[in-house]
Amino acid sequence: MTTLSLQGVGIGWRRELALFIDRLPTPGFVEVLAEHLPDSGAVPEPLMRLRERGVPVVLHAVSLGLGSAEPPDSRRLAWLARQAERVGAVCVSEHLAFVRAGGLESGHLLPLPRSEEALDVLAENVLRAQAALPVPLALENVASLFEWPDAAFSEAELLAGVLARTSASLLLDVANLHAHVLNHATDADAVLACMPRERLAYVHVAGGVQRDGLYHDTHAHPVPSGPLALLEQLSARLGPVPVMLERDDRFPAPAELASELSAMEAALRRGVSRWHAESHG
Amino acid sequence: MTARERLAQAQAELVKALGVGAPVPSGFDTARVLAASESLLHKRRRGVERAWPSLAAALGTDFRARFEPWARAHPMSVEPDSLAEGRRFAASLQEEGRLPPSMSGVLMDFDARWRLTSAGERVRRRGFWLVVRRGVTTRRFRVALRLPGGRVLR
Repeated sequence: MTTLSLQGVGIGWRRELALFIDRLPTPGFVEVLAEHLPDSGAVPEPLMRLRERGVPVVLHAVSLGLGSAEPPDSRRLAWLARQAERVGAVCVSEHLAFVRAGGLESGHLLPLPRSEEALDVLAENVLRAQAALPVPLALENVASLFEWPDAAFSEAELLAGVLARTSASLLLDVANLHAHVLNHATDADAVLACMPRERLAYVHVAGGVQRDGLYHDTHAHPVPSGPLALLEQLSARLGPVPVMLERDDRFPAPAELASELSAMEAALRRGVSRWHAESHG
Repeated sequence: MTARERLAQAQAELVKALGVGAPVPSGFDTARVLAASESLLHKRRRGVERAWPSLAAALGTDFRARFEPWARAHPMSVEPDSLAEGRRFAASLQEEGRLPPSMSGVLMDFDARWRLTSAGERVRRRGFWLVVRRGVTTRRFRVALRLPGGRVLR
């Protein structure tokens, strides 16, 4: 249950952004997608250069399906452990979601039913994954367009339940939380309030788009003000938190990306000065 | 039924509704699940467009109209892989006689580098590998040769 050593403002490493990231003076950390790394052979060179510069690397996975009815596949866990070692990851992150069922891959992170039964299965799967991984595991809240019927508890209680049943930490995605607020009227304050600093690994910020009355977390559009406001609120409660930008498609010009990173820094600064003023001044 | 079995059944019903248009399980907001299904299809299409830019360019506005019904009829049974998906999609276009002629060289390059298993997984070829094709209209033979190390000569 140790706090990870991540700090500052980081970014999700993508091939298309390699040059931009290479030129950043001091990225706080980078996050690499496990499924995008080649299974064998050399780790991409720009990534190795970042490691040599001392930039911490987090390994992010999307294919374990920790919320699946089936326990995580041991080959998949072994593969993820190997990838973590290859890139020298300080932590592995995965989602509170399922991705496959009945022999079909959904190609997406699907939300879980919020029931005691599903939470028990999830917690058991998380424990198995933790046992197989060489580094700490962080779990991420997901965005969705729909919810399961008959929820027995709230999104905040789901996150609190995972924290209570496992020793994993949380990767709070404030863009996914923003999507939850808009699509399901989720109480964002309750989610932020359930987050102890020592269990928060880091924070995701990403862009999305509102279409036909629903918020789509696309990682392909500019970051709206909502996630930044949530980041400010979170850091006003907890003080400085490590945060990173995710961009996966329709990559913008470097100046636009740089201004999104500055906007995240500014939101953090505002939050941290409120935190100082309110309880630590 | 155990908790895992109940969950497996519920999750399978939902994934079928999302992936192949099976009925939306009861209790769910149907319009929302359909919106999610559309967005999954969009994500799949976007992945193949990015992995196969030459195919996307050659088909132009036809890409979407051809890809979406194909994708609905061919749900993903192995881990999502846009390169493999694009290859299977190209094969179905070829069977229908709708593959743009400009794609034949690109497909030969791909086939010299990769093979798809019967389950649909993409596996890297090793050593020498020769691909020989005969042009449909030109009737001329063309070859692509993979060399040890991965370079492909055409």
